[in-house]
Amino acid sequence: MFKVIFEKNKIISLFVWSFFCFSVIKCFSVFIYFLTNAFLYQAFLYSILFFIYFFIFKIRFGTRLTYLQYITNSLLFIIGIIIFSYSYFKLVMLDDDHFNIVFFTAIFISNLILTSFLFLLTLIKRK
Amino acid sequence: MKFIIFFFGAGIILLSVAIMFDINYFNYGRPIPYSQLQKIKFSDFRALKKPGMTLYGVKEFAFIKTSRSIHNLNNGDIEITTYFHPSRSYVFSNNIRDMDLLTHELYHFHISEYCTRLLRKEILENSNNISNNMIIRLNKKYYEFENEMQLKYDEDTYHSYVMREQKKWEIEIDSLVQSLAAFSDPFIPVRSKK
Repeated sequence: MFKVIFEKNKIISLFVWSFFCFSVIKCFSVFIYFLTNAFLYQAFLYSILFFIYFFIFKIRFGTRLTYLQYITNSLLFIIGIIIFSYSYFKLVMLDDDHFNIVFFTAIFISNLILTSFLFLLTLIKRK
Repeated sequence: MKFIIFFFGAGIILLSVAIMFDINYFNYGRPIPYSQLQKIKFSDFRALKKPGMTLYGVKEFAFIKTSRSIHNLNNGDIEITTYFHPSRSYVFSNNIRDMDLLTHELYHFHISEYCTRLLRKEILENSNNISNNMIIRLNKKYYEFENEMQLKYDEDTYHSYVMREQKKWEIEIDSLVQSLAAFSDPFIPVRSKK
């Protein structure tokens, strides 16, 4: 069941999408300053962006993700975001800047809840 | 493949824009060590302000970015330097002649140097059994201490607006930095004891 999402091109696709989303949020938080430390807004935006990927996946690969595949992809997506954030912190920021792991844990959890909720909406629509 | 090229390219462009507001690479200035403090002018504050960023609603403000770098030298000694980062420090206008504001910002730099000297002192006092992990731990401890001190400095002086408090802090910081003059040298000789 999980073989579908762990194929090389699908993993690369998810990786690129999570990089793009990370850049979008990063850029967004420059121009909308309050977003910088507002984890709920960030989690919400990440959930929306990941939800878009659900349709991209369907169009690109012609497969509709099941809930478990969708959540697994969501987990990988957020892990990707955390890796990009940490890399950004290491490469661009200085060592007295804070990398708040609690902030990303909060995004991680709230994103899971929100993405699940959005997935639920697609089921309602189908019925 | 088009999908990957498009979104990866777009990601790179967006990230470049975001990085520019953290470190202004279009107007880059090398970090300036504390020993060259006298040379710092407002024209060295080259960072870009994030749109919408204000200081309690005021758009005319400045901020300074300082850091501490620790190098393990080949001969086993340690070099610890406090730096001012021009491309990460901002002032609303590079042409202003407000010496009070510049003095306020530079005293943030003095506070950083004071904490660096505290770190050098502690490393030197423990040079018999100092390890890299211990240095990292101590560095973190003094960053936390510094952050608290910087915040209190800004709170008390209300970012240089309360002149009486500003003068009080200047005297206090000067005396604190001076009290650790023995640790002003960035090089810490620990080679034989490591």
